[in-house]
Amino acid sequence: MHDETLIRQVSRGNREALSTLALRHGPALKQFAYRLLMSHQLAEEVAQETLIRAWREAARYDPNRSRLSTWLHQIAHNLAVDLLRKQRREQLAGELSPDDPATAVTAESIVGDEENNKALTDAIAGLQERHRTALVLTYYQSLNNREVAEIMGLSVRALESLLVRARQQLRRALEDSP
Amino acid sequence: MKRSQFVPSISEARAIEILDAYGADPRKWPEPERAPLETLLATSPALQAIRQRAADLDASLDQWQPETRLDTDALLAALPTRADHNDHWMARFLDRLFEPAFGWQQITAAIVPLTIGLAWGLSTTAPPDDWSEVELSLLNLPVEVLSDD
Repeated sequence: MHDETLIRQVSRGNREALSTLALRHGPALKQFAYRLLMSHQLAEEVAQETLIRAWREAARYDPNRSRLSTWLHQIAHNLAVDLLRKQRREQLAGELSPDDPATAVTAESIVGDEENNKALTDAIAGLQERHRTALVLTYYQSLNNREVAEIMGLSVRALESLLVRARQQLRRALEDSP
Repeated sequence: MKRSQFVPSISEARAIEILDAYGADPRKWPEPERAPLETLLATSPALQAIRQRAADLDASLDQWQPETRLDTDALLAALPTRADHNDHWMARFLDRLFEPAFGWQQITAAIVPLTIGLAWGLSTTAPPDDWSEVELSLLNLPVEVLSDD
C-alpha cells in the first residue's frame, strides 16, 4: 500500500494501517534517533512517540508538501533535539547520575557491538548537535538535501555549510585518534 | 540523427563543496549536479584526489551500522486507542458516514423505489394542452368559479 493511502487511513483511525506504518518506518526512525542520541532506550522512546504523534496528527500531513518519511523524520528530529537539549541543561546543572539513560549520548556509553567503531562513534558524539543531525540525516537516512534542509528548518546552502564542517571535524578527530 | 546531450557545467569550487559536504558517492550528491560533477571529475586529477579523501571518510562512516532492532510488539502495544485519535472533523464524518450502522441499507431501500417511481411518472405523463383544467382539478374547484356568468 502506498504511503499516502496508508496515512489517510491512519487519519481515519485505522489501527491496522498504523501498524503497517510502524513496521515500515519505525526501524528507520529508531536508527535515526539512535544515531543522534546514542541510546537504545531513548531511540526506542523517540520512535514510539513519533508514531503516536503520527497517529494523533495524521490529518495534518500534507502529501503535497513532503514525503511521509520526511514528515516522520521531522517529528522524530524535534523529539530527539528536545531530549538532547534537556539532557544538556541537566548535565550543566549537574542533576544527572552517570547511570541515567539521558546521559547516554556521551561517547563512554557506546558499548557492545560498536566497540570496534569506538573512534568513529567518539568522533560523531563529539560533533555539535546541528552538525551531527545534518550528517546523520544526509548520510544515513536516504533523504535528499532539500528534505534535510526542510526538517532542520535551514536553507540548502546552510545545510551544506554544516555538512562541510561536520565532515572536516570528523576527519580531524579520526586522524588524531590512536 | 543523434541528439547531443547537453550537460551543464559546474565550477571547480562548487565541485569541492559538493565532495566536502556530501562525500564521494554520487547518489548522495544533489541530483542536478551529478552529471556535471562526474564530467569535471573525469578531467581533473586534483578533484579526483579530493574525492578519494572523501571516500576514505565515507568508508569509516559506513562502518557505523548500529543494530537497532525495533520492538514492534511493544511499540504497537504502546500505541493509543481509537479514543485518543485526534482526527479532522471531516474524517470523523466520513468514517461515520461509511459505518455499516449508519443505516445506508434502509435509506437505499427507501430511495430506490421512490426514484424509479418518479422517473416512470415523468417519462409516461404527457404535458397537458390546457393548464386551466389541470389547475381546476388540482384545486378541486367547481367549473362555475371560472365562468363569468
